[in-house]
Amino acid sequence: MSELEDLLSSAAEEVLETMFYSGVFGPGTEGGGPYLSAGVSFRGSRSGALDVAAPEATATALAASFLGETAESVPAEQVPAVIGELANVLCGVVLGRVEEGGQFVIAPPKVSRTEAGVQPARNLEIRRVFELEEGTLSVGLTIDPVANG
Amino acid sequence: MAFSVLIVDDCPAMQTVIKRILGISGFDLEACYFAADGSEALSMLRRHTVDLVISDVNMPKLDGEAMLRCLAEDEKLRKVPVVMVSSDGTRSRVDRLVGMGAKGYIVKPFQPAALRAELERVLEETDV
Amino acid sequence: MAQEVVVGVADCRVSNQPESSLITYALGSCIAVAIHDPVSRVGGILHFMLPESSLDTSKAEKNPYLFADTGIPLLFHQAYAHGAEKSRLVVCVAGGAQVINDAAVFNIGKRNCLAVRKVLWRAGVMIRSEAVGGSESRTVRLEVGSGRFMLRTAGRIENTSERRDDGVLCLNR
Repeated sequence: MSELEDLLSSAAEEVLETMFYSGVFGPGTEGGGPYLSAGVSFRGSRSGALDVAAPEATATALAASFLGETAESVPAEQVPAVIGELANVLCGVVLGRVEEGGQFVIAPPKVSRTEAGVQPARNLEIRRVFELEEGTLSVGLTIDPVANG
Repeated sequence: MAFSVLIVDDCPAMQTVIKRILGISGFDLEACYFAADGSEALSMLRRHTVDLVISDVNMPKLDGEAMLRCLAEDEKLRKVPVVMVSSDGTRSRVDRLVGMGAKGYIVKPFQPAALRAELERVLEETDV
Repeated sequence: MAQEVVVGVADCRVSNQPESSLITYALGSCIAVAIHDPVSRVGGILHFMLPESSLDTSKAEKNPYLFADTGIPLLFHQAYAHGAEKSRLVVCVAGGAQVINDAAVFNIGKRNCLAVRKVLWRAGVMIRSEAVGGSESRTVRLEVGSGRFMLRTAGRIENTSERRDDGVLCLNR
């Protein structure tokens, strides 16, 4: 694994364990959709984007854990907000480690329902699928090349 | 002594989590207000008596940093302690916001007990 | 006369006898949840081994104390039956170490740790102190009368709790 992949994996573990009470078992294989996807873009010392995607049942289970609810009691309208926050927090952790002295602004998340998981992007740096107790979580990280001059 | 809190975050789920932590921490809450960005927060602060603000940093319209700047310039509102809760834990951001008057800073992701401990520390220090 | 009650593995004991102490040993990957109500002076310890009862529902039926999600609610309900109140309960958690021969991809100690935090968060209960992880075995003791909580890690006393003048129980760091 490259350094950036290591960093993304450890960041995902930290976020999922701390606020979602979910352990990462290891690499996973993306299953079928539909998915709930959330993406945040960032600018500052570096610019780019981070996207997450989970099958709807996984997203609901993660939202329930985050909010202290059960999958049956979690308000459906909160699930997209929780997945958006997952992308936001994960992005913050990754950026803080990519460039410790850096400065960043993270834009509000955009959440959507998609048939496929994280979409490959032209400058896609890395894409990982994590296996969780609740299912799988896909994460894509794009960091734009540093401008010359 | 009972106190009032304003929770500022553009994510409604995070507002719910912070409110839940306040509720189960044993704090004596008189009222809990919510705002989705810094602009709404300033409007709430001018309408209600608030003893503590818990605010995100990255928000649309008016972010947490700009809100803090506005509070510092207001003779009455500058006395209200503000605890930042943010996914931005970079040294530059934390130092800048504390330098601007933030009394506490919690980096996401956080465990409920960590937020409670930071709030207890700030409440004791600022004598709310 | 002081009475020491041993809480075994996959076991739970609750007491309102002020002269009693509850103690549980050999917390490797297992976790002890110790709770105490300082007003009604009710204390309890659960020592569980595994995170989720869905792993083995028939075992959970025979012994619900084996799992976090079935054991923790029972610990609390037994405490309530003895006069404890949820809002007053001080909760300490210890254990969840990674044992050396744990060959599982995801170590059971960490899974137990996540499970106890999840169950308590869902129940709306704050954890006052945690001593989890690492690789060493732990022993936990709770004095029912005073609420003093003592933790020993591999033979060293790590910390104890004391009651402040205002009656609040807090852990020394």
